[in-house]
Amino acid sequence: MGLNHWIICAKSVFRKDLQVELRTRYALGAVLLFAITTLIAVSAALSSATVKSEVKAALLWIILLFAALSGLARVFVREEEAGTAPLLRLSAPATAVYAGKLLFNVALVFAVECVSVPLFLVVLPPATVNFGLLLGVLLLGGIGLASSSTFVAALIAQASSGKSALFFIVAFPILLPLVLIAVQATVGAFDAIDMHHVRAQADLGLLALYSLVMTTTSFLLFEYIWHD
Amino acid sequence: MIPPLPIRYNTHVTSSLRLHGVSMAYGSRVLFSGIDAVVAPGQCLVVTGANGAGKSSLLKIVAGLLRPEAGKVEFDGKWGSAAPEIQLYGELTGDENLAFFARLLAVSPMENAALLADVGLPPKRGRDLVSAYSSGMRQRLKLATSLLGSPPLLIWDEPTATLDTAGRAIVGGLLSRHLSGGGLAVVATNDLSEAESWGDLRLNIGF
Repeated sequence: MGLNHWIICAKSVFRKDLQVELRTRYALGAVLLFAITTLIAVSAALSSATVKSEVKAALLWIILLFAALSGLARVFVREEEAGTAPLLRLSAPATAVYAGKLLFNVALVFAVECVSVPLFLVVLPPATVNFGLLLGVLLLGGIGLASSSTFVAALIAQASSGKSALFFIVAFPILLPLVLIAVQATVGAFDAIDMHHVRAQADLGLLALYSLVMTTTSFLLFEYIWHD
Repeated sequence: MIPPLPIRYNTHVTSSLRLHGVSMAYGSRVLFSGIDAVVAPGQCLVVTGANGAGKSSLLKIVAGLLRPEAGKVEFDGKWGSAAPEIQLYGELTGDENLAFFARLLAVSPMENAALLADVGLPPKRGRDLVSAYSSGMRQRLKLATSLLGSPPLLIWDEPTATLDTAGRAIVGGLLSRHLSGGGLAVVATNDLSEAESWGDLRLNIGF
């Protein structure tokens, strides 16, 4: 099988997942509902308080993390529960399936970010925003979040029961370093202090490295998970 | 009546399917052990046995969906599989399901309409969501999917289980056409009369 066919398979899996999602709106509905509800609740609770940029950065990533986690696990769980996974296993190379699912989850995370981050900036506006830096953090953090979650979703999809609980338990230690770095970098983006910007740029490097390591590891291990 | 053999069923198989000492157990419960079989081009291995005897497990092993406890399966070529536990996407239409798997298998989507006709699904039903299909229609679509790209080996588990009389005749016709085109097949059934009509190679799995 050539690279061209591999790309066609990955694109087909992505398109199929997107098509199914647009028809059912299961994951999109869950993540957006979570993000918007949490944002409204947080903004209502903190309306009269002065909130430091560190707290705002942490709140933003807590909302993004839990909103994304509520939908990202579905990519593989849905295939296993609906009984569609066996034919997919027989028809497409494992890594192409993983690539398609990863693309879908990256798109889902970006959709969540596109809706919740502007809303967040309106209801909890930071004193200053370095948009370039914030965009970099959201981009790299989003890829890292999608990559780790896709891999964990594949791991837990074949569990006979308790998939949701298992997903959070397994994902938590894997995602914690990513969230900590992302929060730190976001503090830099919400701050006017130059030194914080420099540190945030270093954090961007760490986020890129995290995403690279997670994506590479996932591609290397996925074949064993998918076929066992 | 089954139409004459179309060109896509001329599979020109040169490889046989070989099972060497295939064994399967779930925990301490042994389903079967030491199964040896050779299925040559043009032959169909019909697997029979009581419910829970391990027919589906054996077919999953042949399809590569399950690892045997011992032994191995050798086949050099592609295969198409239809089984009760293999499902299609309910949120997609029949046409979209076929087109999706055709892309994955690098098969021309031009064949899809002909495949639907072969399994007795009217073209307009191909535009309906699979979630709206009856179990018999889903089974027909599964069979059509297994025929994508004219694989030399067909692995069908209970292919007529949810089909009406016409559907059963279609399965028999498709199988006979596949075999006469040089293909080979492994089919599991609970129906002994079907087993007799489908092939001379029989494998009865018992407790």
